[in-house]
Amino acid sequence: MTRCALAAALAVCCVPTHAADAPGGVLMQAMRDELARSMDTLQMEQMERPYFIAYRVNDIEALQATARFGALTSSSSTRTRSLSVEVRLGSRTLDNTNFMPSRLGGSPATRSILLPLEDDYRELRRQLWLTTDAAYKHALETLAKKRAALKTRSREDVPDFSTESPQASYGELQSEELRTGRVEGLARRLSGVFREMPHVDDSRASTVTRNRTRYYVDSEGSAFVEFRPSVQVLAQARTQAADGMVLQDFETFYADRWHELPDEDAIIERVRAMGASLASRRAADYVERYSGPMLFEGQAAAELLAQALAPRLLAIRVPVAENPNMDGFLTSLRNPFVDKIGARVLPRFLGVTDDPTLGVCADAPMLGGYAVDDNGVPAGPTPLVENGVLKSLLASRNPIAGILRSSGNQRGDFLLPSNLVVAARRGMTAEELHEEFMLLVEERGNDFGVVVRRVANPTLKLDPRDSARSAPAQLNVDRLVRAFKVFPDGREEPIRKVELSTISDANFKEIIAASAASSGHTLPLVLYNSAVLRVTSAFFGVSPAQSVVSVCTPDLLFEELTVRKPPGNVPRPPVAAHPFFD
Amino acid sequence: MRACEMQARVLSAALLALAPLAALGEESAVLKALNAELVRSMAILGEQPEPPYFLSYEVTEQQAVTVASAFGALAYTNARRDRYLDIDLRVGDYDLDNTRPMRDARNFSRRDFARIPIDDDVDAIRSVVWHETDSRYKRAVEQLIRVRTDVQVKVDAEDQSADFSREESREQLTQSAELDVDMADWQTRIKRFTAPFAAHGDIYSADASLSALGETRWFVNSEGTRIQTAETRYRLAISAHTKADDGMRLPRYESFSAFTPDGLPDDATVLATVQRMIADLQALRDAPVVDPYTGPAILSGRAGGVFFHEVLGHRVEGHRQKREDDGQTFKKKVGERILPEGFTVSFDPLRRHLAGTDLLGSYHFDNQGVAAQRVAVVEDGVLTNFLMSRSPIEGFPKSNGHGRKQTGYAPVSRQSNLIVEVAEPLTREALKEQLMAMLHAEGKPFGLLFEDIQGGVTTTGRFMPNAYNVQPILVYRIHPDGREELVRGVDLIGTPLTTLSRIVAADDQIAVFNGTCGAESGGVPVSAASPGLLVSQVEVQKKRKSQDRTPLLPPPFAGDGE
Repeated sequence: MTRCALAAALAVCCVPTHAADAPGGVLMQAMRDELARSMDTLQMEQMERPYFIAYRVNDIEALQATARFGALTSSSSTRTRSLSVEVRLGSRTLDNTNFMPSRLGGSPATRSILLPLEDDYRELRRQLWLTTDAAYKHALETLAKKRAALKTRSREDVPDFSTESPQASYGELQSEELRTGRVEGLARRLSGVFREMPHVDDSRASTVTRNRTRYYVDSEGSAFVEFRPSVQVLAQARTQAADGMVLQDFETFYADRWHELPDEDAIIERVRAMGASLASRRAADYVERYSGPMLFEGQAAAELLAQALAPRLLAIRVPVAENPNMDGFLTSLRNPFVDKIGARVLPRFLGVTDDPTLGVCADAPMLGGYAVDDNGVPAGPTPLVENGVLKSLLASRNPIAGILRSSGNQRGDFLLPSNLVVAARRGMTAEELHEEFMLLVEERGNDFGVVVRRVANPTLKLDPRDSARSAPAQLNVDRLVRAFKVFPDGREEPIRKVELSTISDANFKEIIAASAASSGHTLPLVLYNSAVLRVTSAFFGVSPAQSVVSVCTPDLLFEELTVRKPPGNVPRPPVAAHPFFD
Repeated sequence: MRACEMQARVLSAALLALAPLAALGEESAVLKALNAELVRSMAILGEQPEPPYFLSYEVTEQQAVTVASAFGALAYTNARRDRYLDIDLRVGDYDLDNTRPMRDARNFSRRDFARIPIDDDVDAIRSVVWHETDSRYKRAVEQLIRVRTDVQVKVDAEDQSADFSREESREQLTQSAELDVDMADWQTRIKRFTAPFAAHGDIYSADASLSALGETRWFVNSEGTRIQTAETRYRLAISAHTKADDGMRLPRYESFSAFTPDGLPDDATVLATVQRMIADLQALRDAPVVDPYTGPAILSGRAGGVFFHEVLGHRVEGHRQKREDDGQTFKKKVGERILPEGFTVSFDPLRRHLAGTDLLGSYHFDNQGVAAQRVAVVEDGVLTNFLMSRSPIEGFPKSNGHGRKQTGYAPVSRQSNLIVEVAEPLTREALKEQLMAMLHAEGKPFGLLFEDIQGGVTTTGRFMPNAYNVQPILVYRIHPDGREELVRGVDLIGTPLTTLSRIVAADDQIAVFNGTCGAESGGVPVSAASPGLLVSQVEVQKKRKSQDRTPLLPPPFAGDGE
């Protein structure tokens, strides 16, 4: 009894009595208190004091299971609380960010560490104190280097940090129950479906369920707590045709909560259909080369837009490089759409909006959203393309010329879309679209057109060596997984394997028609097509920008694209047969 | 005592190919799957134009639990179970096969493994084993073509030994490893171990972790070897650091390792260690910095163990003696004196305890299915042997059970439990007196005592100087009058042949360093045990130092009465 009383007394003396009841709980209170202390007193001798500090905490609890051929290969349960500290010195006009030093003395502008998992006020304060100290010292050095670099160079007259009005919002602290049995069970059963498929030589099913709570506070008075659960289910399969050609396919299912997934029978049916589609492609013919009209339906249209168009919609700032030789290189990588605001980039009947607040589109859940972005900026719809004309780009608080305010699209360390919605005026019914398609085919004098129903995603591959790689100047779009020849009489034939030969921004202006009906898809987006992000993230040693985005789009009919049989060597098929089917 | 205890049955080699496995009890799903695919692969691939002459499968199941705390608060917990598959598939023949290193090429070792199901599902395990075997076979055939060309177009290799030794097959099956972890109790304890650091605002990190690893290994090969072994390891590690005003990072590490949880020290002992760490950290902040210096030194047993591991151990690893880009310091020195009379250095994976400590470099079979054995590399000061995997060298055609690796790497000869023994040990006082006599004789202002170390590194190639660096944590200056004074800021450096020739005497205070040794076949657990050593001349260089100042603001909790 005495021991308990003593322990309780100790606990109280270390935590301000108000902390547990404060908005956002003990963690937020510790963040606010250390932030206030740092803004008031953090200063090295006569050097500058921070004009802005932000603390971000990502508390993630996750269960993950992977299975092959009906048996579990891994199962894990993790909980982490990571803190990143952003310190800005100088002024909004010129601060320590948007700069690439030639030798890295630590991490980029933000510093991150793992915080204690318990709401131990004193220990949270200790880690906040030490991390802020390190981030401040790093910022001092970076600012000095940046000023030195700019002594001999001038740059665009754009401030380093945007002005936003502060806002606080506190969501409820909550969590979804994470059940190991459910996560492992589904992975097992889903991967067991491949026991029915002798043609599949490698397959996997994985399930992830996650509780994520974001905490944010900054010195301008913005603060928020936002909880978001998520569930992801992925099935992947690989086969080789008789000539050795590697064929892959996948199915994904995303939801916020477990009960919002499709029911298990429906999931299994879709995975079976994916396996059947692989089987039909093994036996199908190639199309050596095809130029002409192409129709992208459903997932294929969404994935195409995400890979090719989404990176063009980001106002990514090109940093100043300490090494002047690097400056020119970085500038050459800048997003060409920055110069196209006011220009037509799509046909007149298409518009594009990014909307993190959208819940549903075309009966599909939109899962890329949030209420507040990772800069504490409230989320809202951003019209990007209207009547085919580029109106604006998505922006963070690192402005670029012409876009001085954030659109609320900071996601983690990167600028990313949330829910992209493509809307078509004068959309066609399925019959009208087919008719239009066949008319174009006939005009070109082709025997058939090509319809694509699934495009590969670079992060969802069983065999990552099997990827489409285009010339550097081109947009990079992954393999067209499910593609079919469509004949004027309505007949369809699968194509064994095909990829886009080239695709450029201009092709998007030549979209001839779109369907009236849209469909919604959620996918992991990796910005391979943003050259600046690719270079800077490789340099800073962080993983490339990746997040889940949703895309809602009609089917899109392109006037002309070129596809080909993938060039290159083909591995030989397995020497021995699969032991289960042998 | 525990489930991991070996229940070994060794059958004679003649019996083994025919021995019904059922006689050894219920065969595990993993072993069933491996056997089935081994037989099937050898049969089907055997009909190919370039058939495999050898195939082995090793599956390592790891069950791991870790709990960690920082400054008395829980920082991390993890529990996992994984099964990794390693395949050694060889085409060609014992004399020349696809594994021969390409000369003048960078033979990078790359981690490459597959996960197999952790469920005991024979069909699912076989499907993965089949898929991986196929890709390994294709790779091996390509490698062999390159190797044959390399052999033809390059000058003859200095060492003409075969690529793979012939060994007897073995059969031994034990139970699986089982962990004994009370998660709730561990979480309470691990928090207790770092709580005392929390009162000190000038200690900038204080972490402790308790981890348990249960490892079951299944090994089968086409020569008839069938092995199932199990091992459990428990480890408590505590680390903390402070900073001197000049920015130097001053760490202190303590770790305890054992095969069973009971082998770890009780809480009172750990907490006493923590108090000593705190006292050492405070003393280190005020300790003077030593300039680069050369003079006599005493290495404590733990320091001596790491010193031998780096200076001698890595240079008696057999495969290095035939790599054309290696320094090969000792290749031609077999039969020559390299240490004082009375010094014996052996590697003994079968020894499990020494000086009250469990030896982590123990095992019964190496990663090539060869039975472990004690290997004396230096006897009475004379070099006698090398650590051998199944890669033979001139004069040493057989493995002595030291082919080791981390999962995902190809095995090479590696150290196990290094044990230094002397015929006529002195007391620590006598050792110190000898050192003081040297100071007087040479007119040196002081000698050094390396009490504890963090680890070490060495390079054995020809491209870089063949040197070593041992990183001490606690170093004392010994003045000519015998006074000991804590100092900081130096690493122990040198070159192997010179240093070994300067070893003069050893004491009777044997101590053990347990750690993980990293090299081209990954990280493997090793031990190094040595008495305290007197070295007539060592060299120390300045330690790398952080340029960051101590925190600008005081700790946020300074005013709360502590």
